[in-house]
Amino acid sequence: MEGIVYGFSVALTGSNLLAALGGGLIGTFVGVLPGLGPAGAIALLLPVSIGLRPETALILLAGIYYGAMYGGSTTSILVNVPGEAASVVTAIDGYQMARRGRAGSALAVAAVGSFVAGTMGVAGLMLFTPLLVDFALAFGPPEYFAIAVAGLVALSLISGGSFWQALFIVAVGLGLSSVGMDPVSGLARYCFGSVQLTQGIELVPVAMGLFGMAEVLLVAEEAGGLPHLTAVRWRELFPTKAEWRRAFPAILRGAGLGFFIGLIPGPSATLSSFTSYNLERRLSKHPQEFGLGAIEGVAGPESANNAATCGHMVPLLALGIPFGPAVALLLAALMMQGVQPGPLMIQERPEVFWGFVASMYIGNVVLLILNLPLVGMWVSLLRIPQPILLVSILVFMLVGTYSVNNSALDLIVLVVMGVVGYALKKLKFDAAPMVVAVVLGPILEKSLRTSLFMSRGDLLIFIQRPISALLLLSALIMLVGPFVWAAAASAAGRRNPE
Amino acid sequence: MGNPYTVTAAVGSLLAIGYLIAGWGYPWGKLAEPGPGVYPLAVGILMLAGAVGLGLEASLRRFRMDTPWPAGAGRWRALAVLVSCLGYALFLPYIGHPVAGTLVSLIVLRVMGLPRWPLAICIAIAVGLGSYYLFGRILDVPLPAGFRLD
Repeated sequence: MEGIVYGFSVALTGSNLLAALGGGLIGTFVGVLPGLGPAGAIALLLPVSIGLRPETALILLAGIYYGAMYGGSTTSILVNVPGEAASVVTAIDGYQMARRGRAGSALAVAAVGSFVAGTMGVAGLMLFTPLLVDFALAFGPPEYFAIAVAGLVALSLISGGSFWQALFIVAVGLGLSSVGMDPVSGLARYCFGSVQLTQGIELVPVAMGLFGMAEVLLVAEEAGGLPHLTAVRWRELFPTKAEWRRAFPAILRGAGLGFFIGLIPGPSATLSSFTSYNLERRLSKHPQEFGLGAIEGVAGPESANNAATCGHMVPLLALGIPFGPAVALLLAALMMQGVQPGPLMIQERPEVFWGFVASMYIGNVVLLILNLPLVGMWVSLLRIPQPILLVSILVFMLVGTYSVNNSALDLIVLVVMGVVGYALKKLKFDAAPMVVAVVLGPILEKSLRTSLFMSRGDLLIFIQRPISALLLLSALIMLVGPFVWAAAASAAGRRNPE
Repeated sequence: MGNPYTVTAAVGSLLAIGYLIAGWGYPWGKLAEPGPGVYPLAVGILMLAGAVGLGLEASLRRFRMDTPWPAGAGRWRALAVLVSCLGYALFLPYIGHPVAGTLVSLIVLRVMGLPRWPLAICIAIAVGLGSYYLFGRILDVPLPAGFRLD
């Protein structure tokens, strides 16, 4: 209790309030506009956050992450164009509600659902993180190696696509992280005589390239027109009692489901929204309405994706391990500030943890108050001519990348990764595992080498310690399971041909 | 030009082989004290395995073959944006952000279909100079000025 009170004393300062408001608004803006996504936006603002205090930087950047969940629903409902991946499923029933003249109800339910779930998610974050910290204080290098391996395996499998594709993408990310000076021996790896490369490849140009530049190239190639926009009047923003009676239980279920899905590696916000939609369809007394404008189909998923963003923060803050690209960038932001997330952060930097938790409560209130009255403004952003919007984002991206190290090399990395990200999008491969691998690579290598040093070369150290053994076993099951299942299904099919 | 997935697998394999060759001289150390060459070796093997597996899947036609190569006007637009960004990266230290930013903006605006040259030029100059002022002066990002703008 004292922690959260202290947190509010940190969060309610002028600069932190401004950061929460700014991050939330930028996140909503990014969520409304299709393409960039919260990871790309966080990457864009990462250089700006360096000059801020650690807790202010985290509040700003995390505000973008959960703000995007609020904004994504707006365009899903009004124009059937999801602003970001976690709002894809909202478009199914949300847009149908808009076509029936119930756009305001859908928007209100989405906003209130996001608020309730976000608040419950923050409470979960506040309760679970210290518990996990107590558990994680027993972690040593073998456990960190095992959790990094398990996290990468889970992320690759959950992100979709084939095993080999995921393996290749993760390996490229790990390869990028190996460029630079080896911290133990001082040997320059893959630097090819370049002094700048001895500092390694920065995460910001990699993430901005894969998500931001790639999207710019796609938009340039497709050059689509503006969507038809539905107008919403203020008096239409109030759902009926019957709609609330159906929506509220879905909001609560979505919040619980989303938070726990957020604890696992992968695109948890997207996964939780789809899972919630399926759950609501199964539980609903009106399943035939799904796909035609069922309010539960908006309330559940929108709540789930907001709660998932809170759940996703727990491993980051408690263990210092990111399970997704957006939180990987938050980790990078904290490390740039000299703050190491992990089990000791709550004790050593309580202002960062509790200030951040308190700011999420405040941010959720502010976003609820701002999003509904400003819905017309958010939608009007879609009227900005595409060339002007594209140029603004592009210039911001170029300057932001350059400002990290004042290095033209970072700009070259941005462009190269933009081409890579563009190719991945065209091939329908997910770039998220690559970004997480770039962040986890150094952790993986350091924990592996330290573990072997501790055990004097005995590989059994990873199996002799129970947590490490369990995590590695989980990774093995995740890897081998699909093949075994497929073989068993094939054998069963041959035995029973009909 | 071939199946995009097969081409990706081939490029990936070359990348992995190059990565392994470039890292081959790094010392491996001993198991009790792994050297800086161990991690790149493991990663290179994983990268090669992934690329070869991807190639096998592509040759067995496991992927839907509806991913087209970029074509037509869209291809040239994307290429123009890419080349202008590359030009920005290469020439920024010499000509400065106000000029480089303006040129990038102008190229992108015209390529994306802003119909009139005078309007495109005005917007490009506004973006180039405006972004220099915002980032260079207000946010203190040390952007190269190229020409003195004090």
